[in-house]
Amino acid sequence: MKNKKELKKIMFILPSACVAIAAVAGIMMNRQSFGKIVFPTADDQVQQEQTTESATKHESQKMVLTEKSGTWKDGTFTGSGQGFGGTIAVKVTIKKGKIITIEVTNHVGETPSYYDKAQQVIAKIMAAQSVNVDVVSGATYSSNGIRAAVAQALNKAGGKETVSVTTAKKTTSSKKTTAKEKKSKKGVPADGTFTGSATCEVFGYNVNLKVKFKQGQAVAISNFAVTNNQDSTNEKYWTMAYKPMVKKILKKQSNDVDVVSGATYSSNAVVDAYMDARNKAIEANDNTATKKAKATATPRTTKQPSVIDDVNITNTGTIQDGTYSVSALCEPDARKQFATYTLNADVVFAGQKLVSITNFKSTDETNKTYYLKAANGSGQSTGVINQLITKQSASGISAVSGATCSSKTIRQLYINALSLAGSKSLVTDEMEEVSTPAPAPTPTQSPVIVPTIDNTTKKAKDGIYRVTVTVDPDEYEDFWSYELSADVTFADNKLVSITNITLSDKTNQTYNDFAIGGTGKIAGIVTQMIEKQSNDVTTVSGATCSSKAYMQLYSEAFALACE
Amino acid sequence: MFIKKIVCFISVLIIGVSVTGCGSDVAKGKDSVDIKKQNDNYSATKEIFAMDTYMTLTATGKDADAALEEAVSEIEELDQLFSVGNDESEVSIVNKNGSEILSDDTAYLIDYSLRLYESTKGAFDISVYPLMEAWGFTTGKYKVPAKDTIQKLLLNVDSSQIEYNSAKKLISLPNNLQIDLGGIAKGYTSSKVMDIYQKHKLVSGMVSLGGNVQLYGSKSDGSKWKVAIEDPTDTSQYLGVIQTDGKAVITSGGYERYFEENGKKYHHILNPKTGYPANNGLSSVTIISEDGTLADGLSTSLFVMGKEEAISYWKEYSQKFEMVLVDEEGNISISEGIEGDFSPEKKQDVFVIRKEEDYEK
Repeated sequence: MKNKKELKKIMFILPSACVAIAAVAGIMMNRQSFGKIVFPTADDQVQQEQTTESATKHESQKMVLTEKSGTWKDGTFTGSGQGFGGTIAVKVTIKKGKIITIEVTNHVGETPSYYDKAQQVIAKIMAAQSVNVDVVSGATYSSNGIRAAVAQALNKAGGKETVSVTTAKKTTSSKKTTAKEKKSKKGVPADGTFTGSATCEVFGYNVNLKVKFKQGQAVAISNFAVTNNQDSTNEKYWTMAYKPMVKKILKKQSNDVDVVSGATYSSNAVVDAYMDARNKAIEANDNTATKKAKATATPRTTKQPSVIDDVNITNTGTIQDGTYSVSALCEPDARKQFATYTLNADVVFAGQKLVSITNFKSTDETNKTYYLKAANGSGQSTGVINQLITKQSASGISAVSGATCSSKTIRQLYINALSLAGSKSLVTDEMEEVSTPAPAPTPTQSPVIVPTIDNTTKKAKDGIYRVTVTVDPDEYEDFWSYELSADVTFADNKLVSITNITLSDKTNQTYNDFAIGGTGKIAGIVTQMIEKQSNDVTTVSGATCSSKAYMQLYSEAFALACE
Repeated sequence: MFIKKIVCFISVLIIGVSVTGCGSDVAKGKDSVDIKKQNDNYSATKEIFAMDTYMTLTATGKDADAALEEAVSEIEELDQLFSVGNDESEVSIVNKNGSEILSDDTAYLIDYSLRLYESTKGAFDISVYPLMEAWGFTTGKYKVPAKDTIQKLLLNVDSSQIEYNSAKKLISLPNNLQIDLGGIAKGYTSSKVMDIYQKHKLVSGMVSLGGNVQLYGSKSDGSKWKVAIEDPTDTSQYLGVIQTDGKAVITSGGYERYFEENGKKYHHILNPKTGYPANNGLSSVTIISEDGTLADGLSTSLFVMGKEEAISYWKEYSQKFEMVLVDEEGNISISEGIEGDFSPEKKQDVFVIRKEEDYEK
């Protein structure tokens, strides 16, 4: 090829050919197991070390070949190579230094189906103007036979081709790595709580849960929720799958165990949801790393949730602990998709903090799904209640997508309760600079504050008080939040009994019973409280969260009784 | 003009190389690891999702991060080779085309599988795959196949029909015979991870590939690892704890994947000879061995065999592995090699299987 035109053409192809070759080389260099059989004799004892060596060698060979491609003499040349069942013979025609035809003159030994497949290699050789092309998967021997035959012909034309016989694995790695990237991102999860969700492909239900990460490790998994479930028999499976999975993931065995060997569990929606949360946590870390310049906080979910009317709300005054039954109007927006209704709920404060909003009732229960969604959140969005508990403020609350109006209403319930509780809420339309802004509360995953009973200065009115508390898991437990309700009876300023106990989620019954029944060494939590007339008692081991819930129940009931 | 082309060529080359992520250090989101901390006590963990399950890897040593990176790559590559769920995996291609020249890893496992098939007298059989599909264990759409469907499929559940030329690494399957290396793939993978750990001269390490555990050496404080064995009747509880080092501890039991139809339970460990879930009185088998591939393969094989045959098998190969068998009544038996290393969770007698004693009924 002596004329400029040909040179230009080659130089044109050169970069793209280089990318292709570099890509293949790059992929090959990353592969550890690479079955190479050096042509023409099969080498049985190929070791791992050899394969990586030959991979690099092969790469340089490719580079050499590319430079030399096009140095063939014009004419027709024959060649033969070893196929699957015998020799494959070819006739290669070169014109103006390029391969223009490859004719297979003999392929008698090849199984027809394999040979037909291997034919594709001819097109590849023509396109690449080189014998170093990928073989056709499933017809390796025939493909390599054709390549070898063409190489021999090209060498007769003055080329210096050598062919390394390879198996068709190259195609797999590049394609599938993207799928794997999706499944488990590389990196370290950022600290914080992230929501994960996944769909069970077989049965169609969605699993949502929250994972708390600390120093790159999962420390708590909670708020397990399943939606869109068509089949009630799935419930048994989740309970079976969920708890052991959480245990495995959190590795919260006792100090006696390092790891658990069990029958291999295959993928399920619970694991997928966990990995989803983990991927988000890793994304959050990547975002913080790359967006250092920006002042905005790292988004916790991939979608930016809409904040309800960016207003500045500050709490002034002290909050009087107790349960406040409040109501607020839920008015539709311009789209008028529903009629205005009233939403009512019990807002509970303890230790001067919001601890729960429960017992929702409305004047139009067709809205139930929406206000519950707003209250508890769904999939990507954190519920308004949890946001309020975390922020301890009505500022910067994000609406739950698909339940914007309800979200606003629930926030309003909180504001109304705050007013009743003695605190005054200043609602301003702009972000004004307030002289003494409320201190940012430390976000807690679970309400740990259990104020002690002060029955020396306060007097509890006789009566039965029905109280509800939310039981949230702490770092070491593996259940999802539920509500505990009970009748707390006072007489003569004394706690007499806690009865009529109901759990919103019966899977926790065992733990609840533990807390009540106690162990050999520790008396039941209620017994202790009655004896001591205080909630400053010992939690029952193995039922810490349940025990704490009872302690909280007592304090809230006491607060109610003292009003 | 020429220089422009060269520059273009070089820049395209660089782009081409970096696009492929050549070398694992291409900026992908930095791990927030303080390099100063990397001494022999440095520990790192990775969690990934591969081979259709959740895996954790732990490594202790100066080179822990590099070891883990390499281990994760290795796992992902092996997944590409063996996964029957992936149309383009080597195993899928073999099943589709009926014959193929195998890469080193797959070749090793095929060879291993055929030897295991012989030594377990057919209890281990990689050609059981079409049966698994018929039962829906591969898709999750469980169903009890008709009797004649099972009979028909059984005709092709027979590893002796597989032709394998180990010199050429050339495998050939007859029509309708399909294979799945799922019964030993994870055990092989964990043993490869151990090789990587060794290469990086780690102090200590551990992997759990979806419940398949393999340990590298002992713990960093020199003490033995404590591996709990899942209770088949309640997977949030343990049966007992075994203390060990440098071994794979792999458990099989029908309790992890099963379905119920008309009040009957059908689990996923099929007996290759009957085509039905193995029903020989065992509810869980744990194999402890230095050879991860063996531990994996034997855990299902011995489950299929049942207690008596399992004991005879162990007596024959007692140098290579130890075991913990749990029967349907909850009785635990252990091979004498781990006597003293195993402690049950509940207060119960543990039966010790000894080589010299005769257990024939």
